[in-house]
Amino acid sequence: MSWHPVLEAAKLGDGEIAQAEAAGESVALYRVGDTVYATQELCTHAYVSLVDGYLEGTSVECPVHQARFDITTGKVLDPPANCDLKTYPVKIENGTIYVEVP
Amino acid sequence: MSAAGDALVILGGGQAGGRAAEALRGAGYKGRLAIIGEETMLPYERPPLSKDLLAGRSSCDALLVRGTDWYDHEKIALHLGQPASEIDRQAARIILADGTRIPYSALLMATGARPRQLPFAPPGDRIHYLRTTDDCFRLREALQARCHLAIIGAGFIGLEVAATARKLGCTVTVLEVAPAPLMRAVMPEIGGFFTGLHRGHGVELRYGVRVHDIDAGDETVHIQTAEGSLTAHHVLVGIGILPNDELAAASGLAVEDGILVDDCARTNDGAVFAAGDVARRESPRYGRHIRFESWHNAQNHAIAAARNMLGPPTPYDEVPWFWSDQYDVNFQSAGATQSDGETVRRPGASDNSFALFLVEEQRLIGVQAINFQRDMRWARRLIETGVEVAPERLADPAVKLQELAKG
Repeated sequence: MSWHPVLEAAKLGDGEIAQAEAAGESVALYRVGDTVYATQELCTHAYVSLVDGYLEGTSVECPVHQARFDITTGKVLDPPANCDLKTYPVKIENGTIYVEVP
Repeated sequence: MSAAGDALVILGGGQAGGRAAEALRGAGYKGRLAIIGEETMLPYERPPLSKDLLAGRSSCDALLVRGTDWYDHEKIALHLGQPASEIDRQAARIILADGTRIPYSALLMATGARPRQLPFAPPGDRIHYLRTTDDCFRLREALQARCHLAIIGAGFIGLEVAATARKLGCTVTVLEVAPAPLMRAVMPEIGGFFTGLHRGHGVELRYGVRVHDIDAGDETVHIQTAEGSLTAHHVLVGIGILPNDELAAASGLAVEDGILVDDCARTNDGAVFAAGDVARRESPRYGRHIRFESWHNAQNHAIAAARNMLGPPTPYDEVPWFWSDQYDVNFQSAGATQSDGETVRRPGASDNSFALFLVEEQRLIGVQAINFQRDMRWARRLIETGVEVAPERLADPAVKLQELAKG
């Protein structure tokens, strides 16, 4: 496991989602208030990018088929997905978002 | 949640059947549960059959609602590849074609639909219909040989297959009896858009053409029309689907081009429910019974039916929603598709993007849109909530739909 800098924290506004690469893993970053969460970028149902999804509170909805996930745990909240998202630890240091990937 | 004698049976192993099983287990039902399906494959989603699976860019596994392990783990009895021959409602049991009897305490009819056939064109080596993965693989073989494909019917199946076939390098001719494509489902401007799209991709589209006969030979297939004849290598017939409601009708359930159900998915037999393509459901929103043929309805109506099988009546009347992907174009439709009210056009983010809104009495009742995915959610919410909205604001791309949806 190692930490990878992925984005300047200032570039991710509250309620926004951004795509980033960390050691070959494609991740989606979500900002909810002062906290940033990271999950795998693609929905587990039809592999659509969640970066174009809808963030409400701490859930993200896939923009195509409306699967919903809890971004804090990766757990499926609504079908059609039935496989959870991978989640990644996140930290912000000196204005930079870091994601920890295996 | 279940008594010892409970035995829930889902007749139909398609997307609706799979989603219903998932919802029953998800709601905590631990009793006996069986799925009976004519196809041998586990429940799967069909949209890729005219697109990625047909193009060879997807696999069957990717379509499954759930993998084999899940059905094992959830102790769901699968009777796949086993058509039913009778619903004996008096004895509350299903009789399979091989004589097996499967009793139920509650039954969900999720038997789906099948392609409407031309009487003179039974399916064969060169005459294709598209509903199952087997159909898809036979058609795929033809497309991979870069054949000349004739398509009868400019509906969604016909046009999606036309797009896939062009991408694979086939010559494509589409024959449609109506004067425009997708006439049952889209507004005239959307139909015109698709005509231009396909012609731009080299598809020959002929409208107002009635097919009289099809004669399949060893190498080619001859299509007779009022104007003359057309020779192609293969023909796909995509002229709509028929609900598989015959067993229901034979058992005395109320049927009217689909199994009639109320807004809680209940038939006229308290122990029998119906969902998905086969169900004609009561819609308080539209004041009539409607049969929906869409991925969205197959999933969410089935989930609603499952809940109603277990618990207190829970009405279901979601705004209808469907989409189609052709070439690099995504089309979506939500809510009503026709109206006596006003049609408002809103330009999208690019030249190839726009939405048409149907507005009645300052309320959005329907939307049809091209390459407008990101805003569809808010358009759908506007329809669901029925908040008042000024047509000129809908038309103004500077006004965010998200803001309008918040009222």
